Amino acid sequence: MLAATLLTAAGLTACTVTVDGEAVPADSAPGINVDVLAAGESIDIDSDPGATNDFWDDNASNASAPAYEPPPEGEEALTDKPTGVLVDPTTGPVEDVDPESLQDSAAGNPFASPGLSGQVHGRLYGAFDDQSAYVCSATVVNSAGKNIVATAAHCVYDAFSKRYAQKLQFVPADRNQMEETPYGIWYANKIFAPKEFIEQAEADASGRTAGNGWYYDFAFLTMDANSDGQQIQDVTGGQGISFGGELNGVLSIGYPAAPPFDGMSERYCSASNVADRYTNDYVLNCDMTGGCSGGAWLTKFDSTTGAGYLIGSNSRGGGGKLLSAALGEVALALYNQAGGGA
Amino acid sequence: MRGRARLLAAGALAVVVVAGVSGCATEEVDGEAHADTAARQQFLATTFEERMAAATEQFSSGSDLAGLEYVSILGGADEFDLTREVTLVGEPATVVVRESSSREGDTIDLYHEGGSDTDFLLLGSMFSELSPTLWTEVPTVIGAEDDPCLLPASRIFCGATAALAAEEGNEAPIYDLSTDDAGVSRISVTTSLANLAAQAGTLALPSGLVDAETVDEGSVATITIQSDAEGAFTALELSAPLGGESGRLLVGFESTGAVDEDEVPAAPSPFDVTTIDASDVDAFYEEIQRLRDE
Repeated sequence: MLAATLLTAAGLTACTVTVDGEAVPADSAPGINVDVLAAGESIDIDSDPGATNDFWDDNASNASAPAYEPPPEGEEALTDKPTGVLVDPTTGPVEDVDPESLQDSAAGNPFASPGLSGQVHGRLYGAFDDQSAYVCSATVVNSAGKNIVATAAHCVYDAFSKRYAQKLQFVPADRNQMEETPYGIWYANKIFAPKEFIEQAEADASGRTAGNGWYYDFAFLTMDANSDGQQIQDVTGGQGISFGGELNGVLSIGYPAAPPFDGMSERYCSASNVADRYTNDYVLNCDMTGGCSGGAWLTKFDSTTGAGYLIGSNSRGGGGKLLSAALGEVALALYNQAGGGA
Repeated sequence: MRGRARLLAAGALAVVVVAGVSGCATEEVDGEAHADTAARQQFLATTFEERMAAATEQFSSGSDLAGLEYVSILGGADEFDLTREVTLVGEPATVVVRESSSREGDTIDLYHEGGSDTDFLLLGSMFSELSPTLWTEVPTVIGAEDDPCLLPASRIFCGATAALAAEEGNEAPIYDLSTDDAGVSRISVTTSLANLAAQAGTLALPSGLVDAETVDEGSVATITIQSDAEGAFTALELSAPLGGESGRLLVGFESTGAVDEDEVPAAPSPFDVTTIDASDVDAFYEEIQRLRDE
């Protein structure tokens, strides 16, 4: 029964992964409104840190891999239009990029996490119901509200069952599945997902994806302040964001949990540049597996300060390729809606 | 290891052959044949010094080199084998060392970019708990000072030279020369195990392998230079019986020919590197030793 549940859950999303262990109801009723809102609107989450934390204490463990079906080639380009808008990291503008950091690396090696990157990237734990827990990756981005976390839309919205996630908690610099939480555990109170994804992203029970909505596979979360009243960005800092601009090297970070990885550590792939957009996606040679979904795609990354600019997040993958939707004007509008530029 | 054992055995056999054919004459003479031992020793001493000087010059002049350093204990109750594939390119030298031992997971690769103040270490599985990334960056050891005796290969010559220099005032060294059928020659000189053990640091011997304080003062060590048929250096070996059931210690360097620059890797990606600060590096090396001692 449990295996069947997990298998189904694995098929729900493209690159998220379910977690092993007995899926049990939370101590209290899920503190989330699961109604699908109007596309492009936000969804409030009555965050319940105690219940969410208890749920994950019971459910966080290893993961299995979802199936992957690449998007069809030759489709009309429907990319999120580049704007040239740049939001600097909290550490300030990135001036130089170490040429040695522009090496191609596809193996998914453990990531060194220098400077800011050792604080802002982490693991996102979520559930679409009380029976299907999953893990993704996410990033704190610089925002006026100091409370925004960026991830993939499919990490917060189930394109198969058409429902939002519940019990979203983010652990910056997570190690060994919350054995180490150096910057605390943070709870989402609102999801901002693009209407293009909500309306046009399709997935079947096996995990195969379809529809142009996948070219908008990005989302933002706003997070509760911690018990000391601090916003997450006050604690971790935030990466910059590029809503469509020039690239200078590409770095993908995440917590791949499906074999041969175990989700216990942050890993990366990198390249001097990404190939031309695969229809509307960036594409990178990378062997990372499920669980890395939502993890940052960064450009102009300073390997000393660990600061860079988010250009997308891990969306789909397989066969040694990893894809990311490109942030553009839809993403910018969503970011502003979340209070990013307010 | 087998090659090294052969190197010693071949040397011993060649001594016999040379002894058998030395003193051959084109016509018979009366009387007994007496070898002029003193003259032969003087000749061999000069030859040894010339070959050592030539080899040392070769490995301290900044020329590229590729070879194999090794530290072994053969024939003892606890055999041990450590090898280091060594490549040096350029001046100041970019150094690549791939170290492995007979202990599972006890591997450390080192990359030092010429002129850099850091070394990159690729730790084997025995040490995986010490670094979350593939590579670990530490303050450089081999490039810390402008001292060729810190460089792989060169340090073997430095250790041998120092061990011989310490022989002054002790028993006279004994030289020997042998040549095999292929023209490979080995010239050797004796010193003491104590002199060799005193150079443990220079020779980069693993900690605890030989204790200079406890070795038998009377144990004889041999330093051998091997040259090919054209007289070019091919290997340098220091060896000594450790006494009792402890086997024989072999420390050496073998040249493996010309450097293939394509074999020299690029510096690791900074995303693969965990940096150990100078203030933590002693503790880092202590942890490596602790794991080796477990």
